[in-house]
Amino acid sequence: MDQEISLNINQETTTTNNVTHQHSKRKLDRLLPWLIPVSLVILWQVAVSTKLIDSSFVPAPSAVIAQGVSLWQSGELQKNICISLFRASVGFVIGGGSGLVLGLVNGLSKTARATLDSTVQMLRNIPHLALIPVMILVLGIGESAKISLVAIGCLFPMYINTYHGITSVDHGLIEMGKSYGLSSWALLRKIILPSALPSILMGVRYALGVMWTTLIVAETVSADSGIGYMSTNAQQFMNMKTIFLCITIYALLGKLSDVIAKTFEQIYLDWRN
Amino acid sequence: MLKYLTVNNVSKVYQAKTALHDANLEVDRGSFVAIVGMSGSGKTTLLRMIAGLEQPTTGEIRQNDRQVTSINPQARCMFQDDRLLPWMTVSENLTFGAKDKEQRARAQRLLETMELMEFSNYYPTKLSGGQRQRVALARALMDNPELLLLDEPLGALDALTRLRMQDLILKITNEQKITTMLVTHDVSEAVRMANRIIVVKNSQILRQLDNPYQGVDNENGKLRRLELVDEVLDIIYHG
Repeated sequence: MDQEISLNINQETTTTNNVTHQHSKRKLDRLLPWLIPVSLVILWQVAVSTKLIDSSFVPAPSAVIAQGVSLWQSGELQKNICISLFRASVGFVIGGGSGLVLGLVNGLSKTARATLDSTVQMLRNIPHLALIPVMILVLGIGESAKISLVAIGCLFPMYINTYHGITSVDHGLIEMGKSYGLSSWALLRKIILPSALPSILMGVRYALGVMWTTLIVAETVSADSGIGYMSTNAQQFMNMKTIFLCITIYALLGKLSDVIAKTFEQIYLDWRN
Repeated sequence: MLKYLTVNNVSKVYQAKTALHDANLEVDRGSFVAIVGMSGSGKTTLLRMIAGLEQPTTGEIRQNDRQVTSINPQARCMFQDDRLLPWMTVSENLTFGAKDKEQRARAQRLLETMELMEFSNYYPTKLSGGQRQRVALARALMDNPELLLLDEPLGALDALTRLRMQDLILKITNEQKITTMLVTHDVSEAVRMANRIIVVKNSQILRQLDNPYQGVDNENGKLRRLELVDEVLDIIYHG
């Protein structure tokens, strides 16, 4: 009896240890991605504090944070973040949406593919940032030029990945669906789109990356608001704290995009795990 | 008497290559027909045309005295690769994700028959080859098909799982009186399962043999089946 109790206690202890071990491992997995960024910030702070780096060129992270707080309190920071987010998201929806539709149409229809694909491929090879002078001349320096640039930037990654996803669907699955009497709509919804989804989501990820790069350039070249404008304006006054603040914000927004893309993948592609 | 399925002077030519030449075949309702032959002999082409996945270049296929001109709605196919949808769970693969209560209930009943109930909410990637083929079989049976077309569905399975699947297919097709056509290159599998063997060679139907010993499990039955395997192999090799 005593032996049985001792055995049970031992088993319970092992189970508790396993649970604790798994819990700490999960915690570690969550913290691990932050290890390098946080270490770099600490190194940066130490290097500036010990005057290894000239703070007039590279301000300390604490000074950058203080600048951020000050700009937030004045309301300038949130205004510029909001306008940048607006341009990025509208451009992404228009460009990404068009790329998705074009990719679907060309992927599904041989006639559309024959008519449109070579033209799209030609346009795709033009660096979209080379269009900035044309955009400014045609659309001015207003919102439409910046949004259009972001849209053009997002269109091609979405197009390529959607098109590739649709044309790479396993023919055997389509044949199976047909032989089981699925209608064209059901084939699209239940077989073609889910099969192409990993590639489409890869397009979303690329497009989100291009979205920020394009916006930074567009706002730096021609804007009177937004994060890019804040950075260019600060450059004229040698305001390094604001410049570094803008760079940090871009990094954080980039990370946010990545989290959004990963969340989509976790939701829609959980069957792959 | 009107035959359930007839293949009349059917040929299939792909560009310049003849895949099947002047095939003639009659299949009774409820029978189990095996089509055997070497790779590239034309047996899969014949099955695909019966399924309506391809159309004959010449000749016609009739089922219930109606010509098969497009996807055959009364037939269900099971392929060598299970062709399960990896983004759907086992039960969703049976219903194609439909929410219809009746369909879901039927799917559950079939999964029970296949001893797959505990895997109902699993994704196919978590299943073994044999389990996946059982899911594919359950999916093929979902709409109570009149005709079951099996294109080497057991080819990739190990010997024991293969035997179990053979028994399961025989049990179900016998119970539900489903006309079944099995394409296989395994002659002993064909003789074990079918009551009629069609030998295809060089794009032609070479011989059609009755197998009265299908399902006869006494010594004599087993011996006669072995003799039939030898005879079929002899026809395949020496014509």
